[in-house]
Amino acid sequence: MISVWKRELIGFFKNSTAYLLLAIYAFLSALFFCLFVMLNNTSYLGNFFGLWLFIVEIIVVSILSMRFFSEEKKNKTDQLIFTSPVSLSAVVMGKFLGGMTVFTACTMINLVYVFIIDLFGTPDAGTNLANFVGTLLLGSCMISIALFVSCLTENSVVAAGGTAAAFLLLMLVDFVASFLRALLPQWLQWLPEILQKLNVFIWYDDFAGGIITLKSVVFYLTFTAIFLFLTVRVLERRRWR
Amino acid sequence: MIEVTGLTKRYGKKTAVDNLTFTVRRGEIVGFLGPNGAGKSTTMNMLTGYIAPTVGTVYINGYNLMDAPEQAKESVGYLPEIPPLYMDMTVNEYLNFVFGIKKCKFPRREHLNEVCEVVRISHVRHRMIRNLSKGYRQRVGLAQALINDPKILILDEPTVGLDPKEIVEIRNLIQKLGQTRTVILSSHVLSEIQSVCERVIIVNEGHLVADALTEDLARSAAANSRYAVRIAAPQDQVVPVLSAIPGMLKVELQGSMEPGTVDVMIEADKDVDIRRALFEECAKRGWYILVITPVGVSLEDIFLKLVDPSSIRPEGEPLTLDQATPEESAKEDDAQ
Repeated sequence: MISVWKRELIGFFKNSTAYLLLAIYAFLSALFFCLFVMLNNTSYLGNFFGLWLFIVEIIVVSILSMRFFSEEKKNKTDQLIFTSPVSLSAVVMGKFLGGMTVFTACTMINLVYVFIIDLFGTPDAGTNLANFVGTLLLGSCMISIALFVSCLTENSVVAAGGTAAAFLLLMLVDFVASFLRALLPQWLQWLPEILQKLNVFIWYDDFAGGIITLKSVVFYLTFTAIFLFLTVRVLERRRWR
Repeated sequence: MIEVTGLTKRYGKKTAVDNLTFTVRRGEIVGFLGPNGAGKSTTMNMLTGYIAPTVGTVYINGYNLMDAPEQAKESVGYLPEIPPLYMDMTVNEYLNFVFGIKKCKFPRREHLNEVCEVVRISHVRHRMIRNLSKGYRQRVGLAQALINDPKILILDEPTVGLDPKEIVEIRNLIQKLGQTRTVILSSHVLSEIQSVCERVIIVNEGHLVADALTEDLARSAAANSRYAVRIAAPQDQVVPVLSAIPGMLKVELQGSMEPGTVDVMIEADKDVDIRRALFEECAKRGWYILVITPVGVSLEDIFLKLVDPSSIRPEGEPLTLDQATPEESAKEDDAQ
């Protein structure tokens, strides 16, 4: 697992992928910080860690997904990994940790804005901490989805597009749920309820408000574990096809 | 060391490998031969656990590849047809990564130095893999297969795309590695198999068509003994005189390469040593034999004969050539 994780980091940092992602993240987050915090003369970062930052994170994770499994398959380097005496779950975890490391590095850029607020005002430490924790938990969900999509294709562009499409679908779940709520009879109302609960972005609301709730943490961790498990199963099944 | 039983791989309706059964014993260098699309790479991929068979079992070093994949894979070093190299790494970074992923227990620095010495890449260890020539990339691929000192080496077409000098070097290296390891070498280059391997497994369209010692295969395929002969003699008399020798089956005039000499290709019954009778006949007439060269049957001839679609062996029937299998040879050796 550690070897795969190190290999992922070498891949991200030697190919400039990580620097590109850090640059994109720094530029867009600075833009949103100016728009939602500085122009509003507020020290509250809750609005900053919102929808627009989600979009930046979606871009970052979609680009990360290009390198996970699809590129390995295309370059046939997966032959080395899958013929080595290492379990599939260790490989998937190594890649997950690689993605999380880059995502965490991007998230840490936001610390700059906390320092700026600290210089000119009083930052709300609780809200900021909750938002950082929430962003990392949301990031783990996103990366697990990206890994899953990446193992389904050997085309890097399709992997990135598929990952972005999956996140957009999750964002639209609310809209679909309210549409279904109006259409479905009373005894089927549980369906839109469940659908709505699958929206990973809705679960961020507590963190945005500065509250770390156990149910949100458990949801994000469970969601991540399920997609990592599905990734292992898909890789296992691919060997049998 | 490797026991394969009823190995079959189907992709939908297409059967890529059909019911392969063979055993490779410790220390053997086995050539895995077949035309393109015969199922060689699919078989290699199943032997290394990259893909799972539809039906059949593979035992590596006593471990079932399906039930105990990690233990089984520990004994195998695999060089696929396209070496699995990360172009964005240096040779050193790559070998360190392989060292880690193979859970190698040897002292890291010494082991990697040793592997690099064996495949002679010590002087390129700090270069990016993408900047290496194809020959060196192949060597790095071989180096990764050698990490963790595997008892079994599986090499899939290791000399494809190399220049003649590199081909000779890689072949010599494989021979050297084969002195202490079990090697399965897949190739469609017949001369390579003939020069490196002591045993050949031939597959065609996913079927096993032959499994024999290279020598036995050549011997059993050679129905008669053939010689290329150069004689200082009158051209018009050579064919009728030689044809009259008892046991001679065919005399074919090949022309004249030197003034006053005749080149002929003779074919005689394999139970008769035609050379003595030939010498006596020529001596009697005052003719001089300048050259006499035995012409063996090449693996190419055998291969073409075996991969002919009509020669595919139906399940359960004996091989096309009546050769002794390695197991039978071993039994004979034991009996002696």
